[in-house]
Amino acid sequence: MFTALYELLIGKNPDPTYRNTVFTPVGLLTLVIMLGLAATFYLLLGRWKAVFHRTSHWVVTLVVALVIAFSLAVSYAKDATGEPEADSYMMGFGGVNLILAGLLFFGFSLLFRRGSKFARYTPF
Amino acid sequence: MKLFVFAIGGTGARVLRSLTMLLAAGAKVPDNLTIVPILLDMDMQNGDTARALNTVELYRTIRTAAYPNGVAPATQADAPRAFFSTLIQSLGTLQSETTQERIGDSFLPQLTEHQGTFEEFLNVSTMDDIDRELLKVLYDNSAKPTSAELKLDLSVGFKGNPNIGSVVFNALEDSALYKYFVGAFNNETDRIFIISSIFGGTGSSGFPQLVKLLQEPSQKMPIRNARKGAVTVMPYFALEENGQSAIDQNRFNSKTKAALSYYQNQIHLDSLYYIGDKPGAKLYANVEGGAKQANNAHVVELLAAETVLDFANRGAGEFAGAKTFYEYGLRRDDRQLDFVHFADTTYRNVMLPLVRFAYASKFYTEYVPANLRESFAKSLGLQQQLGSSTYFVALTKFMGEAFRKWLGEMADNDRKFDPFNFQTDFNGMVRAKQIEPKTFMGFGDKGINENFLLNEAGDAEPKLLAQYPQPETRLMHLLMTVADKCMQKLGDLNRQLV
Repeated sequence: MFTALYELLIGKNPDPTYRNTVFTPVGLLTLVIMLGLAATFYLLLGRWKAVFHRTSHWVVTLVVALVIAFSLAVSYAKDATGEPEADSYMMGFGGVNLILAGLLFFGFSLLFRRGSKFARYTPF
Repeated sequence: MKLFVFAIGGTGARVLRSLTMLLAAGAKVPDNLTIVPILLDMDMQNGDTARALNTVELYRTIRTAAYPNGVAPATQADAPRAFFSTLIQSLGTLQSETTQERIGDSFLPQLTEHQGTFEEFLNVSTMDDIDRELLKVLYDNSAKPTSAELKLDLSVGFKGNPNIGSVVFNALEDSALYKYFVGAFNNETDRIFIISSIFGGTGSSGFPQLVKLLQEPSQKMPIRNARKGAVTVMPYFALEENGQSAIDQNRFNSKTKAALSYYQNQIHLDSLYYIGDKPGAKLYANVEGGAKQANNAHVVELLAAETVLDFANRGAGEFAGAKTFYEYGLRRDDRQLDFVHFADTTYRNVMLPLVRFAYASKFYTEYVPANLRESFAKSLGLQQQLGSSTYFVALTKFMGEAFRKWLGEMADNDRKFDPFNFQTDFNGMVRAKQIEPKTFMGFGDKGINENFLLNEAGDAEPKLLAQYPQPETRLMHLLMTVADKCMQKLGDLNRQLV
């Protein structure tokens, strides 16, 4: 699923490493991390105390999520391909993963916010 | 159980105002109590009466929306009652079996249709000469245009003249209001309570006449057998000198003595409460009546209101048959009072609910408007409704204006009762005890601060959501929950006089 998604947006790379060992683990890891971040924001902190529940806090969490997603994709691709520097394909992959992460975090936010005490109306 | 509360004259209205505050605060009363206040006053424009009416109407608006099925949550014996839990119903909304004439929904039904002077009320112009001469012996008919007794304009009350009021109240039996009351009183477990002053005009004349009517052998059985009580408010304030006024404060004590001796033999009630005070240094404006007669609230009125609760709280078996007299006494005669000055029952049943309500008031009128973007406020729809919905506006008026003003007036009076400081934060609001934060390096218990309130409100609101989907009811429960948490932070107050 992740392979099809990534290749749809950034095209197919002649190096089969991406298909075989990069796309699926990066996609799954991104999904799990976004799930964890949203759950932490809404179900852990959002139910514990009113310390990190406002829209500004949510934006900070989103930015962190995007940075993680981009870095994860690029570093994973570098490690897997053995390239010393990130090429344009890797940067594109990082960018697509960043968008995917944003969408996932937003989706999980909608899902989890009802279970929060202090962030039920965050971000809106 | 219905308790029909006749509040007669300006003092009756002021005590009713205090009673409404106590009921709003959840002062201790039986769970099934319904209060039917009946304001009796010729002076329909009286400032005291208007203020009491506004307060009761606000209460009614709030209660109707907060408890739409009419029933407030029952509480355990020692637990504080819900805010606005007691049903307050106007006489005109009850079913009356003997009269078809409706008296309207007001808490101030019209006593008489007469408009004009006392002389016109008596139809002096149609009297023969002998009767007219007799009247001149009984009443001042001098040339003074406004203060001569026969020339008094009754639309502003009796101006401290019970000898006039008693004549007017003698016609009470034939009034639509009284007939409606008789028709509506059909249950022997219901009770009657009368609030009046003994030193004015309206209360001191209306009280004995009303009791006489209730005691008449021809009176219907449920009324004759009903438990009856009254609070008689003796002089507790002094007036400014005003040579133009028909109210003569030099007669307060003599009128009180004369009335007391009459009550001793002629007033037969199950419980008769007496309260009064040595007038303080603050003088009230000597106003004969009308909109300008709006005296500051006084702690005596608060304690007089407590007698209504005391009477309602007494079980049927506590009325032994003989009439019982009660007098109120403070634990120490200081001019400035705090919670420690009141007896344990007053402290427990009245003062602690007031503290709880004060916390709720501060939370609702100060904290909530500044935090409308928080989840609990959004869930309650407060961003949209706080300034527009009838219920939320009424609650703001009651908690932020009426309640604060009432407290402020008592704080400004003599005797002074000033238990709260709303100008400071929650930790210092109760003057009797400052909540001391217990922190180390900025961490630890900071008392009642913004985070504490947000945590408590944010924690409580989602839990209440399932049980009370209607925002009005949920908000009321939220206020009580937050107030209870504040009370826990406050802990016990000192009960030792120092």
